[in-house]
Amino acid sequence: MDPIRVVLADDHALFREGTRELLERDPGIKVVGEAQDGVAVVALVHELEPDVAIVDIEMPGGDGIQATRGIKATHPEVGVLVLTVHDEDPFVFAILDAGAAGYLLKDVHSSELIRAVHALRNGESVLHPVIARKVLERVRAGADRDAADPKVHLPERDIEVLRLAARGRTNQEIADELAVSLRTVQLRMTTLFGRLGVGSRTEAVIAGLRAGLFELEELTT
Amino acid sequence: MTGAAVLSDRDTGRAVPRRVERLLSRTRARAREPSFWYVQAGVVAVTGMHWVVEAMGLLDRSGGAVASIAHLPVILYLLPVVYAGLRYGVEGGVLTGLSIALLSTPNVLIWHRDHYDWIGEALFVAFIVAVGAAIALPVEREQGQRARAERARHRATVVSRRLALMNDVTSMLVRTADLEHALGEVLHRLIAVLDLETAAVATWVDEAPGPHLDSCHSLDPDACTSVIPTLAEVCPHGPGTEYRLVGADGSGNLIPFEFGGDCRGALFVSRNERLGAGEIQLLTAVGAQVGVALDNARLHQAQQRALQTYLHDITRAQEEERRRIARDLHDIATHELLLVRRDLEDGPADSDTDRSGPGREKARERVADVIGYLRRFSRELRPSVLDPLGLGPALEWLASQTDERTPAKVGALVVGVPRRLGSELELALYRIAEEALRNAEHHARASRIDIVLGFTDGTVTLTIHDDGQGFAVPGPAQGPDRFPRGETQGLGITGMRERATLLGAQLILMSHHGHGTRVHIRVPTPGADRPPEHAPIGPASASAPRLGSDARSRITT
Repeated sequence: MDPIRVVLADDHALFREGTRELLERDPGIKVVGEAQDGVAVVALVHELEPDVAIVDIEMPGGDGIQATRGIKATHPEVGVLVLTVHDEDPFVFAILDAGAAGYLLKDVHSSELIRAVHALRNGESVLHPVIARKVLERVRAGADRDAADPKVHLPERDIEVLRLAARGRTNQEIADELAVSLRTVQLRMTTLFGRLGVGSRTEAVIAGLRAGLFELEELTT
Repeated sequence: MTGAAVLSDRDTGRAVPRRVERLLSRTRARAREPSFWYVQAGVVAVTGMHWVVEAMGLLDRSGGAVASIAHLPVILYLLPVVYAGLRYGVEGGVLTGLSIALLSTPNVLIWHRDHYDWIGEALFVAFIVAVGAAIALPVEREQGQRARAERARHRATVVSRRLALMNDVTSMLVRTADLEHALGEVLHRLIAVLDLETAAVATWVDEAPGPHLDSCHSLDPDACTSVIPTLAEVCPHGPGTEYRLVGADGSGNLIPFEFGGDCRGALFVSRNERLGAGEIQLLTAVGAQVGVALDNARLHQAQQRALQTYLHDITRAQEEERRRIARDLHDIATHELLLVRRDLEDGPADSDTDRSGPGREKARERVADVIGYLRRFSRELRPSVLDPLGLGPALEWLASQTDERTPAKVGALVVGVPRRLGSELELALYRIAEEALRNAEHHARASRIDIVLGFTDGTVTLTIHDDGQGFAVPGPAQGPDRFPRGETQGLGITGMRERATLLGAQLILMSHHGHGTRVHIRVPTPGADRPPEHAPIGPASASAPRLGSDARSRITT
């Protein structure tokens, strides 16, 4: 079997060197090219057409997210493995969205890294345990939200109250403005919370905003 | 523009003719009074009586008691003379005396021509005139003094009214932060005190082609639109002079004043009546005050600009330094430690025996801890998400981080179509959100904190609100300058406010006890917006799939 051809992109030369040595201890892997920024790695992939591209996220001159998107746009068959110190959610989801098949943190054990390169060549996905947890959490949260977020149908009067609350009015001010009693407003607020499934005024406003009951301008003016 | 303008000449004193003029005018005034003519009628009556006595020859035929009656008319003459002297002063007494002398002349000529009799008669008449004058003179003096006192009082009133005006003008211009409003007030006062129709302030600034009408008030709504001459026409006359403007636009007066060391402005006033010398003097003084105020405003503006630049530079330098340190920590220290960790794992050949020993594992863990610490520290210095992914993801991440370490539920919501705003603006908004979150976390005891980032056409808004205990915002609950520093310093509001000022935006803070706190900032982003998210790089970037983030709103909690 031919060795797996790998392109390595990291702006930290010493670390890149270390990773290369580590990978090449496995006779089934050959590092065919190295790049130190996002632009160079896209060009290198285009030129060398490797099996796997290992990219860091934070690099000068085009970060790993842009690079991944660039690679997947022209060479969807190349497996992109992210090797980075960043575990911030936005990076994880942005680069997975961009098409990366693997996400490892740089403190990963060398054997894990080698296993991951093999897995990517076989078209599998590899996630660092920390990252896998994040992805699972996101999926669950999404499911919860879909379940808890039915189309909100509120009576016009409730929307009016919520809109005034969104502008930061107190119950008394809302009562004055709508020419009703304070008690009526309090009552309406309570039913409103129930309908939206929220426990506070702020949550109600956010829920209303999310449901498109009013625009952001109304919240801020 | 009216070309026909002349400098007014001051009235030159012509003392002697004026005195005669005054006497004549006073005499004419007497002639118009009916009571004066009653007195003269009395004189005529006494004269008639005298003539009757003379014609009947009563004096010649009988002596004694009758002869003494012959002197009665002469004594009666004293009545009108004394009355006129007391009532009308010198001109009354003397005129009455003269008319008596005139009316007595035929008497002397007809009946007292011989035996030097006429001398006695003449002496009598002279005596009466003298009595008139003697009574009139002190009366006249007293009247003169009274008139002088009255004039002095009037002058004092005028002077004190002008002093009060000056005082008002000075305090209006000195105390105000809003010069335009203060100028308006000053012009209103000028109109009221000097009974003007129009008052305006015009200035000439280097860059501008024509005069700039800073403020104008008029009883006539069209007056303010009429033109005002140029610098070259008005300023050669210099401060303290009046430049009279006559023309189709109506007539008016311009009083030039200086600011910034040169003649650069003028007060424009118009009135039906001509301005007096004192009024011009007053307007000159007001002009000087306006000049000083304009000068101060200019200096203040320049100072504010300099301060802003300084603040901007400092902020930028600080952020630059943070970025550098964060990068060094991340690039050098973290990676070196990662390599150390790898070495510990793989190990050099001579320590092969100890490869998986407990000491080595402990060292590996310790290195991992240090790496974790360095990463957190570096992220605090500079949010790594911000530059590559933009403000929305950075705020979402900030919210999730805060959510993890606090009991409060923290969420971030992006409304509208996200776009990149330029790193400086993004960083400033991020820092404001960070500070507001810190406040909410440490002081609000909130159960929920929300960050809302809104993108609309031409503006970006950021709101951070919590449902915590709030605090009393002193004064009206809006505006950046309403907070006394001491009260809110611990809340980092000064820092947020300064960042907002640097963005050319206003930070609005609303809070009430028990009703949570809301920090809001709206920043105009004219034309500086970049396309949403970043395009992929590489040979076929145009056909690349977009990141699925252009949904209308996203929420993470």
